Formats: sequence, C-alpha cells, structure tokens
Amino acid sequence: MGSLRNAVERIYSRLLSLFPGEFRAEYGEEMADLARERSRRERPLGLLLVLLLDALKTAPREHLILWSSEVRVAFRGLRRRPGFTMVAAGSLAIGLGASAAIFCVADAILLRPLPIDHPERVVSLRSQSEDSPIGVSFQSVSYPDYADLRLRSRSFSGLVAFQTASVALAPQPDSAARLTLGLLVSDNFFSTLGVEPRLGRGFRPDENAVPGRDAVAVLSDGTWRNAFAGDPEIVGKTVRLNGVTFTVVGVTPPKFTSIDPFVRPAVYVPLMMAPMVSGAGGKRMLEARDARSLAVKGRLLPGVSPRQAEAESKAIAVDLARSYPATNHDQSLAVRTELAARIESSPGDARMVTLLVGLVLLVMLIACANVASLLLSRAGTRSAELALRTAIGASPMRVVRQLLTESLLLALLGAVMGAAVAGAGVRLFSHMAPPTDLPIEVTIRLDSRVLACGLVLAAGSVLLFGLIPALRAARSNLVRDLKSGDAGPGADGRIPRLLGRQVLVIVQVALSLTLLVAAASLLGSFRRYLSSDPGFRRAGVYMLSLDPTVLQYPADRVADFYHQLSGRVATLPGVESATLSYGVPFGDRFEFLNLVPQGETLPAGKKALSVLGATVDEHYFSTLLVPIVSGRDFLNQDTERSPRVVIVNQEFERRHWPGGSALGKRIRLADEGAGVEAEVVGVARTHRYLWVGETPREFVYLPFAQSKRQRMTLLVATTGDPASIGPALRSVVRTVDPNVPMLDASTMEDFFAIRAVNLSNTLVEAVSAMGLAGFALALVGLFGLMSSTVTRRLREIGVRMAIGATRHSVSNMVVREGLWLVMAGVLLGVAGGAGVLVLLTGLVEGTRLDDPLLFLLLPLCLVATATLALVQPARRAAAVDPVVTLRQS
Amino acid sequence: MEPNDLLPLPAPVFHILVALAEGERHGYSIMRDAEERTHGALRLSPGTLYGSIRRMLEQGLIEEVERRAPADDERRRYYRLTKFGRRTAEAEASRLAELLGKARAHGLLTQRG
Repeated sequence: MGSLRNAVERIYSRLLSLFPGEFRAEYGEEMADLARERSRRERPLGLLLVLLLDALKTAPREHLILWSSEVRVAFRGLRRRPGFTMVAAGSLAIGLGASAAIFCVADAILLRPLPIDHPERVVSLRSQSEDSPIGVSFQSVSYPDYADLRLRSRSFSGLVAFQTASVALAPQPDSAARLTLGLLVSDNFFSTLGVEPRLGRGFRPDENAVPGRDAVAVLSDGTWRNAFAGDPEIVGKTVRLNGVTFTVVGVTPPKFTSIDPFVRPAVYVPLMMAPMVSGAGGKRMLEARDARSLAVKGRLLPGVSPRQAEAESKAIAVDLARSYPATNHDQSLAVRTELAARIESSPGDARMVTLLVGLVLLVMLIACANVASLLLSRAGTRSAELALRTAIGASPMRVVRQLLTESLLLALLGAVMGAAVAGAGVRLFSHMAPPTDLPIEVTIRLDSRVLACGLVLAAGSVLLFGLIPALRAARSNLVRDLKSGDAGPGADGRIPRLLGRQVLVIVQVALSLTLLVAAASLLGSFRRYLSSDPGFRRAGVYMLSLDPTVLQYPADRVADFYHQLSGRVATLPGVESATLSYGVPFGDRFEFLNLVPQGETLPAGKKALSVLGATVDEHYFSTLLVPIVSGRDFLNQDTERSPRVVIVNQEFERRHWPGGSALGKRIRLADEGAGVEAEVVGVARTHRYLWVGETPREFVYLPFAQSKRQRMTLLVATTGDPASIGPALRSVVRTVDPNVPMLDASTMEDFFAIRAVNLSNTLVEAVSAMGLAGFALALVGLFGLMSSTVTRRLREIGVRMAIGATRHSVSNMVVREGLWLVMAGVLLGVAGGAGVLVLLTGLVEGTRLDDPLLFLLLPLCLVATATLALVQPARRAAAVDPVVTLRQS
Repeated sequence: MEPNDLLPLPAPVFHILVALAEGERHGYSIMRDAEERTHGALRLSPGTLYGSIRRMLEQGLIEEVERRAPADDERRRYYRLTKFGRRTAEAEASRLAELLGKARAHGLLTQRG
C-alpha cells in the first residue's frame, strides 16, 4: 500500500509540470503536499484519477489566464508607441507582402498542385530518346506504346493519356461555332484522377475501344455554364465539335479546372474519337508507334515509389525496343513527379522563379533584420521597465514570454498589412497573362495556402528576431538598468553589434539604390522605345487569325481558301494592302527555324542554327512597311514548284556574311528534310520582333506559297479607322468559307499596347516596386539604428550639453552620423547600379551609362528622403535635458 | 469593484471564503474545513484550490499573511479575508439565503430536523 502511495505522489509531481512554470513555482510544493495528505486517507487509484482530472481541467485554464493577460499587456504596449508599431509592422508587411506576391507567381507558373485527388501520388511518364544532338531529350508517348504500357505495368492503379486538340464548339447544330481547345482523353481519365463529374458520368472503357464509334463528350464546368446556361438537363443532349455531333454524358466539377497549369479545355472526348476531331493526324496518332504526342500520367499504387515505377517502365521500354526496333530502338521511358516534369519542360520559368524567390527572400531577410533592430533598440529603452518587473517578482521566463507575445502581436499586424501589399502585387502581376481568345490562362491568385504560409513565416521570423532582445532582457543587469534607465554605452560588447547594424543600413541603401537605378534606366529605355518606331507599321493595321485546322481540309483546299481570301480582301473599299502571316510582331506565334547558312561552320555537336522566323505571304513587307533594303520581295512567281527562296534581315546578313551581300547565298532548311536549300532573294530592314527593348536579332522569312501552314493571321492595312474594317473582313471570310473559325481579332495598335506596353510596364513596375520596397526598408533600418544610437548615448549627449554644446549642434551631430551611413550606401549603390547597367547594355538596346538623372538626381533624392528618417532621432537628441540625464547616472 | 460584480461566486471560491471567515488558514486546512463542513461531499483538488486562491488574490478577496505560526511547516502559506472578501462573502451568503427563502416559499425545501 505504501509503495502505491509513493507512486501516486511521484505521478502527481509529474502532473504538476502541466501547469505554467510561474504557477508551479508559487504553489507547486503546497499542491504536492495536499496530494500527499490526501493520499494518506484515500484509496490510491481513485485519488489518482481525481488528481489527473483536476490537473487536466485546471492547468489549461491557468495557461489561458496567464496568456490573455500577456496579450492585454502587449496590446497596451504596442498602442502606447504607435510610431514604433507602425514602422515595425510596416517593415514586416513589405517583406511579407513581396514574398507572398512572388510566391503567388511561382505558384501559378510552377508550384500549384493539380486540382485532383491526392495529386502527390500522380506522376508523368515520358519517352526519352538517347541519341538526340543535345543529349537526352524528353517527349510525349505514342498511343501504341501507351496501350502496351497500360497493359503490362504493375506500378500504377491507373495510367491516363491525353492530348490537346483545337475544336470548333457549337452548342446547337445551327449556332455559330466558337474555336476553343478540347482534350482527347483515355477512358479512365476521370476515375484515375479522382475527378467526380458534377452531372452525369465520366467515360466507360467500351467508349475507348473502337476508333470513331462513340461520340460522347464531357463538358467543362465553364462551358456548361456559359455555352449551355447551366442547363441541369444537359446529360443526353448534343453538342457539335468540329462538325461532328457528340452526346453529352457529363459535366466536370468546378474545382477541376484542368490537368495542365495553363490550358483550360472546354470539352473532353475519348481518345478514340481523335480521327473524327483531328482527321488524318488523329488517325495516325492512334496507329503509329512513332507518333509521340500523348501526355501520360499515372497514379502510383500505395507503397510504390516513383523510382520503382521508373525501373519497371524502363524494363517495359527495353522489351518494346526489342519488339519494334524500327520505331523504338533508341527509346526509353522516364517517370517524373509533377514538379520535376514542369521544371524539365520549361527550365526558363524554373530559373526565373528561383531568381525571384531568391530576391524576395533577401527582401524578407532585410525586413526581419530591421524588425530585430527596432526591437533591440526598443529593448534598450525598455530595460528599466523590464528590470522593474523582474524586481517586483516577474520571473525571467515571464519577461521573455511577455516580449515574445508582443512580437507575435506585431507579426499578426504585419501579416494583415502584408496581405494588402500582396494583393496589390498580385494585381500587378496578373497583367502579364497573354491576351487570346483561347482558354489559356495564368491564374495568379492569393489563396489560403499562401496566406497561411505568410502567417507562419511572419510568426517564425518575429519569434526568431524577437527572441534575441528578449533573451538579452532576461539576463540584463538588474541594478545597473534600474539605476541608469538605459543600457550603458560600450558595455558588454555592444559596439560590434552596432557596427553590424551600421553595415546592414549601408548594404540596404546600396542594394535599394542599385535596384532603383536599374528600374529607372529600364523605364527610360522603354519610354524611348515606346515613343520611337519599332520598325513596322502599327497605325491603320487590323489583324484577324484564322484556323481551318479543325475542318480537316486537305492541304490544297486550305491553300485555295487563303488564296481566295487575300484576293477578295485586297479589293475591299478602304483596304490599302493585305497579307497573311503565321506570326505577327510581338505575338507569341513565332517559328524557330533550324537552318545552316552557306559557309557557316557550326559548333561541334550542333547540326543547325535555331533562328527566329515567320512564314509570310506576298505583300507582307509593303503592308507592315518593313523596307526591303536589297534584293526583292516575295512574288507570286514563288510557288511550290519554283526554286525555294527566303528573305533574311540585315542582322542575319551582318552576322553570317559580314562585309558581303546575302543576295544569292544559299541556306539549308534543316526542318524540311535532307538537302533542302533555299536562295536568299532579299534583305529586309531589322525591326523589333518580340519586345521593345531587344537588341537587334536575326530573323528569316519563308514564303507562304512554299511553306504551308494551317493557322494564319490576316493583316490588313487600311486608309481609315482599322477597327471599322472588322465586320467587312468577317463577312468576306464567311463568304469564302463559312466554316473557318476566326479568333483574336484586334487592331495592331491595341495588340501592340497589350503585348509591348503592358508587359514592359509590368516589368518596370516590378523592379521599381522592389527598389522602393528596399528603400523603404532601408529607411526603417536607418531610423531604428539612429533612434537606438541616441538612446544609448543620452548620457554622452547630456555631458556635451552640460559643457556647452547647443541643441542645434547636438541634433546636427545625429544627422551627420546618419548621413555618413547613407552616403556610404549611396556610393556603393551608384557603383552597383553602374555594374547592373553594364550588364543591361547587352540585353536592353539603348541603355545609357552617362545619364545624369540616374547617377545624380536619384541619389540626391535618396539622401534627401533619408534625412527625413533622421529628423525624429535628432529632435530627441536635441530635447535631452542635461540635468535629468546626468542625475540618472 | 463592488462585491455584487463577482456574484454568483463559483462554489470553490465561496467555500474558501467561508473557511477563512473564522481566521487565517493555509491551503490544506482550507480543504479539510470544506470537507468537514460538507460531510466529505466536497474535496477540493489541488489545481482547483490553488487556481482559485491565485484568482482570489488577484481579485483582492483574500491576502497572504506574512506572519506564520512558528511550529508550522515553513513552506505553508496562510491566507485571510480582506474587507472586500468579507463583504463579498456576505453578499453571496445573503443572495443564497434569499434564494433558499424563495425555494422554501414554493415548497421546495422542508425544514430538516
């Protein structure tokens, strides 16, 4: 019995640790005594249960009471110093807001998981071919390979395949078709991804068994709502896709936007319908083992790792290579997680995201350092208050907790303000989406994931940085702090810490000036470009894209359509000239041509040069007023049967045949098969092709007559208002062929404004915003440093005043010391800015290194603004009363 | 603060006030007193007792006594009622009495032998 009693006592002394430390220190022993007394009179097990329940009930209450009183005190403390609170929270808000905004961009481009069930268990499979000239290359999978893989693989609970297809969608048989994107999918697409249709069902296995038999479709939520007004009876009704009638069997849920980060398909149809939707290409896709165009994703079985799945897939690929050497001898299979697949398919985006995240972490770090610096300087002024609290019995732990609670409140405030900053940032970046009628979008949005992350980041950083002053306060010298009301200057190694903060301020000023110089320079360059001529005609030009792909016409019928169309458009009243082009300047449909100029020695391992180009029809150069500086334009004598010709721009001529003429030189067109060569018949003036600030780039034009394309853009130069030609153009298109879908109609000026002006402005705004945010942070840092310097040196200032220094000279001293730091930062920043500009000269045409605005006016503005941050500390120094200060010491 | 602001008092608080009404006591003695007065029905557990004591100290209902009985354990702290505590206890007692009176008037309470 006695040992059981001892056990109860021992267990209870453990239970006491549930109570807050202070409470325990105050009452712990007596509580243990009480338990001991009771254990003498009561049954041990019953008592143990009573004590346990009692502790579980009362300990949390004690914690809560303690904590809520701390929060009240912290709240009062923050309200008493509104300046400090706003500056610290503002600093955090800038850091957090910038981080959150950048994270939203990274999220939209790269990180956001697919909107499906357990996305982390879904991996991508790709064909991997080993003998490509640039090493290993990844591509899509062919349908026969996919079918074999699905049959043999044991690593996945399901393997899905899909492919985007252009579709002309008409809700009713007689309504006008709208060109959009659809997704051809395997039968198990919805079930494997865990997407539950909101209406109807997904596809059945038998609907993907026979090519062209089962014309069934699942509508996207958006299509159902917009094109069918959310008809609840939609299942069983029909929709026309590329002229074929499909029966609607289901509607996707709103949550499932897409399997691709950017493309939002309007409709889903079985892969087996590819021949009906995409014609001969679709038929070949289903049959040919070397038609590798399907994206394949698999859901891993529980317990199977991506590595195991890859090992199995590679083994299957070896088998396939043995069975089908003609198509598969160099083919293997790779398994990638979603993130790895995205990085692999767009390494440029991944690099940009890494860069942005790096930059923003730097901003965040500076913001945190600032808040730490402010808290430190405040801890200095508060050490008397804290010492007093310790003296009247608050434990050091309590003081630390009090400071941390204040820090947490500050973090919360900063996070709330940061959300507003992030919102503004997200609005800025969302202008970057490409303008098009197709369902492609970059959704940059602030979601709860980002906000939660931001809150954790805020709390984490402030806890970390709040801990330093808190711990310092906890081990502060009670007697000295009480007596002086301030930490003494130069005591216990504070000089190095001050030096660290001085360096921090200098670096902040330098970095922000560097960013501002870069932003201002870019802004200047862009202004010049936007007001200068990009080298082609914008005024009076109207554009309209046409895409007969979905009609599955034979090639000569397409050629005939375009031929008739340009002939008729040219005769319309008010039309000066009309032409066709595959891509338009500043658009996103340029071609990269692989070619070898005559006499060119290629670097080892390269088979051809990749050069930007466009397929254009006759009259292109006269419509866009791009002068042919030597040789001739494309003419109607250049046909399929005549010798191949090309036109190059001056930059191409200058680089490949320096000092000579390009005319008559030959270029091998590596994309068009072995031995296909073309003669250079003209040289066009170099203009800007992709964006306003580009340095001159090489460009090659192919004649439309010799290089067929399906989707072309009609460019029309008019004498009057270009927008007014739109209806006439549409009716001409309808007369020539009522089935051809039209899209992306716009005047060249509007298009240019969106593509060139908005994009450039967004870039400049982003860089300036970062520079301004950096500068705001630098000012906060400067202010914090100088305030704490004044606080630390109160006695020195008092002595100076006692021996005759005037208030004026004292405040001057503070301003002078602050300005030294700013000047040092400005000098470094000017040097850094010059460095960045040297880098920019290679990338942005017309970057000037001798701009007085950048290197004189901007730094002066910075210094002037920085002086403002010194006003308050200087005033405080001047207000020092020598008698009071000296009496305290 | 007025005594009425704190009413009705939680049961443990009232019992502690009643226990201290006769004079200074330490925690264990408060517990025993409450236990005896309720014929063993109420045994104040340590967390409840000291949690209440801490709150009552804050509210100024009781105070700690500096002087200790010399024979007693050094560690034990003694508490006594403050004036405010006494007034609060009286207010609670009369509130309860009034309540009992009403209950009796409605025949809910018969006089016990």
